[in-house]
Amino acid sequence: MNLIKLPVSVMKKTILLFSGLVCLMFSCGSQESARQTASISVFAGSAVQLPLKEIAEKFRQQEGVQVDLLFGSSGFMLSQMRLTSMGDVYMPGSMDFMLKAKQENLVDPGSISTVAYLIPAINVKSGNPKKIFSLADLSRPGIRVGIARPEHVCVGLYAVELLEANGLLKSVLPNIVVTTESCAKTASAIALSDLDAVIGWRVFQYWSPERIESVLIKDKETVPRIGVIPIALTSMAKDITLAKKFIDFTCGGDARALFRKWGYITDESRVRQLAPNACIGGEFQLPADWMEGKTI
Amino acid sequence: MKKKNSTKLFRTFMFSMLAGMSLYLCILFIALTGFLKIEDIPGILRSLEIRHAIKLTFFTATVSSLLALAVGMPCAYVLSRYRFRGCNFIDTLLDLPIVLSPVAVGTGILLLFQTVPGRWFSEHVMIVVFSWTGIIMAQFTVISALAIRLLKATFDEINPRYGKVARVLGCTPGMAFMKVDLPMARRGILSAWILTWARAVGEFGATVTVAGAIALKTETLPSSIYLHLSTVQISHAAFVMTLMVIIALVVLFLSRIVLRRRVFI
Repeated sequence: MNLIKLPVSVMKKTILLFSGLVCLMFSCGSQESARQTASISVFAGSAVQLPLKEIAEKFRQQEGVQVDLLFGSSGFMLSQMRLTSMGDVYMPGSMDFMLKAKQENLVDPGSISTVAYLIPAINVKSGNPKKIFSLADLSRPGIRVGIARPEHVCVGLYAVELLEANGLLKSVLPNIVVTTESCAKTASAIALSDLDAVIGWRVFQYWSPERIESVLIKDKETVPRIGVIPIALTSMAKDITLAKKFIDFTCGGDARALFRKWGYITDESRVRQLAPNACIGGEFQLPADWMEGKTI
Repeated sequence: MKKKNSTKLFRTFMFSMLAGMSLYLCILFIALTGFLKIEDIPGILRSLEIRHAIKLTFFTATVSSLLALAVGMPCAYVLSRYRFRGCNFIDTLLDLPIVLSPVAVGTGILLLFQTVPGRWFSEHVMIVVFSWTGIIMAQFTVISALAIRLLKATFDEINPRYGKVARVLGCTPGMAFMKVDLPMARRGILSAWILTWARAVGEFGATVTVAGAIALKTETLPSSIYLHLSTVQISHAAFVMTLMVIIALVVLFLSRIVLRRRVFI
């Protein structure tokens, strides 16, 4: 085939056609912005999806404000907030990501509030077919255990801390066959795969009671740390008054009742009953050699 | 005798592969239905969120696949018919969305709207990020490469001499394209449209990165599956998957019959 040169008339028509398309997009855009009403956007971790959907609907009914909820892993949501400079409220599944958001000046530090508490637990299949009643049972030969990746997912970090605090990390490690990439996938893993147990949150049981059962850490074994679900105003919030109103609503009595309905704990006194020696929130430094050369 | 046996063996192998693949897909679909809970279905069907997700998925997939065809046709035609400086580079460049993972494509779009022109576009023209236009943009970016590849293969199969004859008979290049190349490429174009539409319906990675999964706003069927799986609502997720499979099967089957008049693609 020959090397061709496009005639000037063709180029002119192409430019004209392209300009026409741009004009069409302009008109569509202006119509879209004219239709917009008062709304706020909330970037939230999947761990709070079920209660937050109901809370947003209640807020919409009471205040007439549309709440756009965006769910994903807490880290992915943080990345999306940073990449788009959008979002009025941030609600990750744990304080670790809120601290990251604070370090990156993505949230207003003064607005950080605690909404609910998360207690680490062993999650097994409904009916507990492998009779797993303690962390020590996870080290039994042939038990297949899953945890979230502690380097990236907070519940994984809690799992390693839990095993280490009870002196069981070395003995359970050979049975860890899966590391998942999010809190939600840890819950799905026990519901859908052939794993015998995962170390997740007590609340997983309430998400899918027909598939998941939570075994609480008790007797001689201890829970070193309790997770908290925080909420904060972002530094790029457009309607600060409305966003603060939503935060106040989420921390209020009606919203807390919805959290309790889905199995979350909202009172510190109740947390103390279930895990008397645990510290609340804070950070745990993952030992660099926690896997001791093991590959999964 | 030996030749006859070899033919038989060849056919048996080919048909058993086809049967095996079909069986595998059927088992995959049947396994899905095993997780359905009949008592949940009426509630899910009444849910405004699911009905909106169905409408949004098919609307955006139709718009983005038509856009991909509209843009892909001239691109494919030029790449098939002409050789020019940088032709190979452009050809490779257009393949990039196929090679890149959809999440990377979506992140690229997000980054684009963080540049000065991107911000200006969002402020003065239209909001793309976290809106339905973002879904169309994400789907379009992912499927356009597929559309161009399929259409180029179609134009490559049409002998350029037909167009040249039309030019000799007095047609302008545009008329020759409209009256000769386009009608001859009809089957290939329809096939490209069906495949790109199907790919757009199932698109998730780029869509969720650019538009999120906001209920009643940007939640498509694949993002609905993701959201339900995130909270271990397995029967809900299985229902949405089954719904997607049924609708896609019906649409693909009907489009093959109606549009192609029972001609196999």
